Amino acid sequence: MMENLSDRYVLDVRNLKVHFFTDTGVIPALDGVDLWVRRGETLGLVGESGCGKTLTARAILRLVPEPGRIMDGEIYLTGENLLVLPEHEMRKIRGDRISMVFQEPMTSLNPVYSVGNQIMEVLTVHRSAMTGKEKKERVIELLKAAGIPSPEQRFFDYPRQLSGGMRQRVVIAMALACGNPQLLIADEPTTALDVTIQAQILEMFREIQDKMDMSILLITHDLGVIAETADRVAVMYAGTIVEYADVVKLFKRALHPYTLGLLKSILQTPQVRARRRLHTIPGAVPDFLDIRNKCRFFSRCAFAHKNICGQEEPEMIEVEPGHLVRCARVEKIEEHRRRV
Amino acid sequence: MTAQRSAEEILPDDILLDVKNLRKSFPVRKGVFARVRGLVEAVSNISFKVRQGQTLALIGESGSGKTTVARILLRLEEPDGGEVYFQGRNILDIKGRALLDLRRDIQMIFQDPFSSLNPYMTVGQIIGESLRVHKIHSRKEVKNCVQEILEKVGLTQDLYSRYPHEFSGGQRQRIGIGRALTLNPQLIVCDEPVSALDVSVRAQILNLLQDLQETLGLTYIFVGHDLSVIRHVSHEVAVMYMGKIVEMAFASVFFFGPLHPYSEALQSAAPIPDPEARKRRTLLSGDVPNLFSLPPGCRFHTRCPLTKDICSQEEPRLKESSPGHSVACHFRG
Amino acid sequence: MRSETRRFSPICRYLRNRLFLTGMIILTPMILIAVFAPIIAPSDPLEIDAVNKFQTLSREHPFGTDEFGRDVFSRVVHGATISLRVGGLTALLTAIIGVFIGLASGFYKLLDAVIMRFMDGLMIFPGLLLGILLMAALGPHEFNVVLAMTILYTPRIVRIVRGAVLEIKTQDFVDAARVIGVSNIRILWRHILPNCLAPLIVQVTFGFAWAILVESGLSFLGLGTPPPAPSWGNIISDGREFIRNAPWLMIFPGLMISASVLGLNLIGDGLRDILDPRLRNIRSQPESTAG
Repeated sequence: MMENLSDRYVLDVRNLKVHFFTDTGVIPALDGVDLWVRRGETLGLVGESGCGKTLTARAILRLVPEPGRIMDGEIYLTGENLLVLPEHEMRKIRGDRISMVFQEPMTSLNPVYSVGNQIMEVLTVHRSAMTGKEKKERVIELLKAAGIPSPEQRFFDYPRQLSGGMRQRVVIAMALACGNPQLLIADEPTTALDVTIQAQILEMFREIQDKMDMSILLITHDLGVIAETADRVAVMYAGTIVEYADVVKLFKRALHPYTLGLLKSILQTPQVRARRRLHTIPGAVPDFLDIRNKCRFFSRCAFAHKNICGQEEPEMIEVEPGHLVRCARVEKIEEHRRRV
Repeated sequence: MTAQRSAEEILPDDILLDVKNLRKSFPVRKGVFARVRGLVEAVSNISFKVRQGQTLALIGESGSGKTTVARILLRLEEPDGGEVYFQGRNILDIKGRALLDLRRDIQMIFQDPFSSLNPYMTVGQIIGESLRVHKIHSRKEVKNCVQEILEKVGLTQDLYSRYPHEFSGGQRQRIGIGRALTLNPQLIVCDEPVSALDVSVRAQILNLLQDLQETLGLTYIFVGHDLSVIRHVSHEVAVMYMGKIVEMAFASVFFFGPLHPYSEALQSAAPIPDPEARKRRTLLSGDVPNLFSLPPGCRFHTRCPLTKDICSQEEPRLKESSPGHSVACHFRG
Repeated sequence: MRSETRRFSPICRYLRNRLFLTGMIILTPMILIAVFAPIIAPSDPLEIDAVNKFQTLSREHPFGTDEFGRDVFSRVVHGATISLRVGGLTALLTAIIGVFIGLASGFYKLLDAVIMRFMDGLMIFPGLLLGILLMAALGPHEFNVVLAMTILYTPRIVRIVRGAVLEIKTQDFVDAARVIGVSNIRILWRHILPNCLAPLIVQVTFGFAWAILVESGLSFLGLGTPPPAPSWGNIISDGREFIRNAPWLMIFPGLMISASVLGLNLIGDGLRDILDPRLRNIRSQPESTAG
């Protein structure tokens, strides 16, 4: 049944497990993650720090930090399982078919090379047939496409000479250097930027996507950014996906109690009365070592039932086509929603 | 101090802090011998007032000078000119004992919950240090007092001898707030206290700050760039751009309709958490100019959608357009 | 927050580090030998026995005897006391002086320029050469050896401490302390010093090893601990003329020097890993890398 899915899904992650082997024990940092990204769409991956968002991105690139290891699962990029590829094949994919934009534009560029040189490096690795001159022309083209004014001069600038927004544009230009990446992973690409610059960068993502028909996996903790840019959303909690839905559906009819909590705790727009009490989710993210045999959200959930949620981990259920929830109390939540 | 605060004669618009013409420049060093090659004007001629029991938000992006203002108010940075009156007394020229006493009244909450706590001190030592420095309590009383503070900021007493690395970002920020509260201050300068926190934790900390303001009658200066956060906490706002205040207003008025084109851009840039309300925003072109080479005239004219010839020639003054609402723009107000 | 059960004791963390553990296994017997030398040594290290000179290894003289018939085993055992005492004292003195100067230099800008130029001045001489110079000026005495080596090694400690201070003083908690009215002295003592201890301890451990080597070198040249005191350098120095006929005179003290220096360096490398907070974070908080 999965044969022709590669046409629709650029990225298909199934049951991805990453464990950390620490002095204190084995920590299941990713515990069965399933994700799908369709051609030309943006999938938003939301969650709080420590839930495994960044780790998921790194696992897709097979760059899991020490002492972590990918234990199980499949990662298909247009039908090809990345986890069985030899490392040299994987290296060809990174930066070419999958590119990544990191959160910190300060540290994701090397301070001792000019920005032009750094982008040329990508071309040297993946497009060795290009001559020096061709590469340089391509880089200037890229800088221009990334909205950098007077790219001929900026080519020779060093990262420290650029502002945060400009640096992030360089990082994006670098991610697009090889032409058409099938998947662009953007890990909190605007978190370190000012709001006015964030708006510019998000706008740029939209433009690039329209032009290049590329899929984006956008990792963020900011539901505002999700609402503005994502087509579909996966909500992550403590190492697993708890809800997966179309963006409009998620904001209108979220079903997982954690998603509900997140949505309620966002700060509202001008129309809403100022200085009211904000909704919060009680408690804190549980210890990864004691989430076995129960729902991960059990201890913080208002809808939890001891005999159901406290006994075993709920399965992902499809409440309607394209809307999946990992919760055993969906009916109760629907009922609650109808009453409110 | 406490007697003063509980006294009834304090009116809602009693001025607690009055900042006048504050100026601060930093030298720029370049070259092999690090010679001073010029000055960067981080804060230029800033004046504002803060009312007792209220929150003034200083809004601005990086490079606006908002953090420098906060640091000057806490005497972590010496200004080049201007006056700051706290309860009618200029606090910029006090020294020694008087400065130590001032520390009891003005406190600060830091942005980064990780670097703002000494990793080698326990929670009890961190929160209790000010009591020891000011010799307020005996050793035993210090412990009681710290435990009281822990409860106040929503932590449990048994965390007293834990170290910061055992806590999450939100809990660390609570510890930082506790440290600011021990001396019973009147004014707390909050430097982006939630910008490093997760969304759900952010709400908890904002609630805590609001509760503390109500129960303790605190006055806040809230430094930040995120309008959705500021909307929730502020009574008055001052928008800063490249070292200048470009707009000042009551929060209700400001969020209803900002006047300065920069404030408008800020508001329009904030993402709206509603996928059905995606909009075309008024995007600002370009970046904040280099402070080293200030544009002539209005500092915003290089990015402003309204810009005309006059903007690059003459600097607009901050003037009142309606009572309590000032703006520095040639065309607005 | 991590639960109580998941915190494991600091001692455990030290012993899990293979470098540190190996270093300790080598060094602990050395220290025991040094402390209990009078009990361990079968005879007086200075006792001359002209009849039994150049004895090879035997049950009576495990390491043989030297040109005066002195028991080499006893001399090596007592040498441990001298070498470790000189090295340890140097390490301690450099640590104390280095911390004071380093803290002052890193914290007060005006002092910094003066102090660092002076330290640079000390560092431009090759170590042993300046040591020879100093010893020639001070005259051979055990304490003078310590003094000379302290002068030689302090600049390195100062550099390490100063670098750490410069980094730490930009952290927010230093400003936070200022805001609550903490005095500069207390800030240095309570907030900055504990945060520079890790690199300091590592550097001091290396200093200890360095001091043992330099002391041996100076003694070998006749400028260190004055003979007939049995420092390892002296024993080697005495034996060098007889290396063909009585190699044991040089082998055993040489082995002791190598072993103690190796042990200390391993401990230093181990401590560097153990005390590095970044490495510690990865080990105990893997979630922080997964955000």
